Amino acid sequence: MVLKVFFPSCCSSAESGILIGRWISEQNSAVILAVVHFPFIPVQVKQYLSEVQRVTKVSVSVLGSWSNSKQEKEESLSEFLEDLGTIFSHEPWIQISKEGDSKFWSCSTLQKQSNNPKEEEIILVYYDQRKVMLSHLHPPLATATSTDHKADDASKLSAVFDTVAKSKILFMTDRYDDGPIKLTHWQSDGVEASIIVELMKQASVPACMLLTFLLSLISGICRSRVLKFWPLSFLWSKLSTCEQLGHRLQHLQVISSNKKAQNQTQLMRKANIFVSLLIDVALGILLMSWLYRKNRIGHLADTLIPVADHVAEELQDLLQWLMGAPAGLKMNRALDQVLGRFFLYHIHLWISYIHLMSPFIEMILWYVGLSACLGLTVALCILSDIIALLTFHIYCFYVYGARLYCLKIYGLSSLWRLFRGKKWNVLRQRVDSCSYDLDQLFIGTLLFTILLFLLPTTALYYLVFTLLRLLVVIVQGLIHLLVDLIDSLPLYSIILRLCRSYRLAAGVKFRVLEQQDGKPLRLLMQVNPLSYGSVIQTYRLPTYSCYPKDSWTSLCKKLFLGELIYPWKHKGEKQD
Amino acid sequence: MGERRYRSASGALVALRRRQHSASCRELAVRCPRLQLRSLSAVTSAVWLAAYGLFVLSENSMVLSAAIFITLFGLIIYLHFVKVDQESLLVIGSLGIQVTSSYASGRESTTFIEMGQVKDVVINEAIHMQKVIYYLCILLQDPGDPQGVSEVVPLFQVSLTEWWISPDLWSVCACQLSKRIFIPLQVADYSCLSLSGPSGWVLQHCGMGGIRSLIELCTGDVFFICSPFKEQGTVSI
Repeated sequence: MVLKVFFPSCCSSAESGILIGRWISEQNSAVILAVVHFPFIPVQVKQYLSEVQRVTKVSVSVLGSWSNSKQEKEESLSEFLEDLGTIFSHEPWIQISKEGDSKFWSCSTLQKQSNNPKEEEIILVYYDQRKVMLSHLHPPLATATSTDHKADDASKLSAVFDTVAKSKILFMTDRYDDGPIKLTHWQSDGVEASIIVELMKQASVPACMLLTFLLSLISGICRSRVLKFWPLSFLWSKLSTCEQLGHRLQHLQVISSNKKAQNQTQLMRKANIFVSLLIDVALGILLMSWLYRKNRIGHLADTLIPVADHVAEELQDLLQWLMGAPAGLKMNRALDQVLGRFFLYHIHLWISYIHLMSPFIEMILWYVGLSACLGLTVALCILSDIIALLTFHIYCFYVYGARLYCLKIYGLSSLWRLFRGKKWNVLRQRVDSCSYDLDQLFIGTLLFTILLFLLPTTALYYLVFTLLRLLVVIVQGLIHLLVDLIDSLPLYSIILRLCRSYRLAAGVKFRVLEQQDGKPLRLLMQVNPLSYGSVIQTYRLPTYSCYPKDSWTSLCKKLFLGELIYPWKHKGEKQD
Repeated sequence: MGERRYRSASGALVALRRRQHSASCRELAVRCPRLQLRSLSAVTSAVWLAAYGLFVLSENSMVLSAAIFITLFGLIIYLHFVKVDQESLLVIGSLGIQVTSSYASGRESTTFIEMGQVKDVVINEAIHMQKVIYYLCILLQDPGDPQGVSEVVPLFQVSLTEWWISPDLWSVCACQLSKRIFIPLQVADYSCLSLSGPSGWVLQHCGMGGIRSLIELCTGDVFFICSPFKEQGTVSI
């Protein structure tokens, strides 16, 4: 089989020494992690390696020798290197040598206990140690779902990535450390560290504790009995602002927990939540500063009452039109007048209440606008709730019209069955024939005729108010869609993919480097970053709203029968 | 190794280049025709004439600037996402198969499939409009079911060439994948026999509509006629 040697490109200019790394026998590949330079004491090297093996659980061992000679190949050095093979016994013993500045290295293996002495082909794969160590390999989504994946089935590349990632401790010593072993790896010129990161790590512990304490206070208040009385709890469940605030509170609890993230997914989720909250609050504060500059909020409050008035006037005009001869249709005069007057009175009541509240509107709006500093999502939810409150009369009209229409439809269907001599059997849930008395038939037919001829009037009112209600529902739905988008977008992952694309790896790509006859095949292995679509799909945050499960046909059926529709429902709410 | 020209399924002329980097590594690159200046100017003039016509009707100069933006963005999106310059296949023995498409704007989209995931490389046929085209595809192993195929990855999607008249292309993949027999996928109403020759590989293909042919890859041309609807078995030459 072909022997594959993964060589870190940072060790290309290292001095002669021995190679340490991991040998993956089932794939016939050697992952070289570092080069140990002369002089060294073999016993100390073995001790160091066993120490590293104990800490990292990666079977690190001496794999071969590396010679980097500026002049011609020295015979004595090569013999010395071969003798090293007997001290650190490893099958096969890999010998890589580089002459001068030549790009083409010679690589050979020494097999002591092999039956077939034929020369096997060697492939030299260069990899960037730092990038491979930091990157996280994402399996394709199809295989990620099957959890009964045996370890030996795991892809070869994930073994390589794992090896480098787990050997972090090997890369912690640099050449300025005084130790018995001198290594060359990607950090041997100086360990990387950032003072800002260290300061933030120190500061985050007390900050998290403070945040946890505050959050426990707030959640204690929210769960207190005072707020659980019936009218208030009903109000909280209907307002989407409270849902959003609860959702954000949950997020804060996740961030401020002092348990360290166990794996990559949890870490990315925490980071995504943190960045999302930060951006949300920043946008909210921006919005707030824009609203409060030049007293725009005062202007908004001033225009609110005229807008409500205007809507009410338009509704009144609509009702007058319906009470006349709408679209040329002839209505039943008496029923028309009754319904029209009833709705007009309703609007009159609504306008009176709005006018009663008008002196307080500006103050309420001013204080409510302050809560935009909690985030743009909260501001959007407040907007959606204000729209719901302002169009409450449309919702009431829809409910009245729908109930009336529904009653009529059920009455009609049941009397139609009577007309044909059938009956609905509740026990058997089917239609059975039934013999009625003459007076039952007479009254039934009479009622049926009355209901039938009153149907167009009711149907028209129902149609008009349903359309208005659907309009409001669509507007609210769009706002909630925007809120969901802001909630679930994994901004940290997207920024990471943009700036440090090697951290999120979908796979690798190989590039064939210059070849020379007689020398092993040289390949460069680079990290192939994940596509933006997969990034969003893998790391999107869960939200609390579920999209309408009704298909279009069931929605149309409900509309036809006059059943009330609630297209946007939140998870955790009881279905009506 | 030099370049050879073939005609692709869509009628354009493509250039094929084979390279052998080492005993276990071969590369196959197919270069698609470049963007023609003729077609580019034709599309641009059409869009601008239409915009000018709209401008004359509506007297709004925004139409003209909109047309310029649309042309520019359309061209950028076309060059970056649609126009494929070169498709290449790199087969590295015992590591895997790498499929690269490079676009006209320089973007490269690469997929590397490990050898453990590759079940087989086959010629598959598809019906496109009024004719049947043959294309090379990689079958991926289903991790749960050893006999199953989880995915079919078509290769050279843009520059489809007629494989069965160019045996060189086959020999690239054939030499790498440890001398297996290629069995085209069975489609409902025809079956095919698979044969192995003494040297090289021999592929038999039974097509729909009764075309039967045998393509011997590395050694000469042999034609063999067999009847359809036979069960799968082995026949020695």
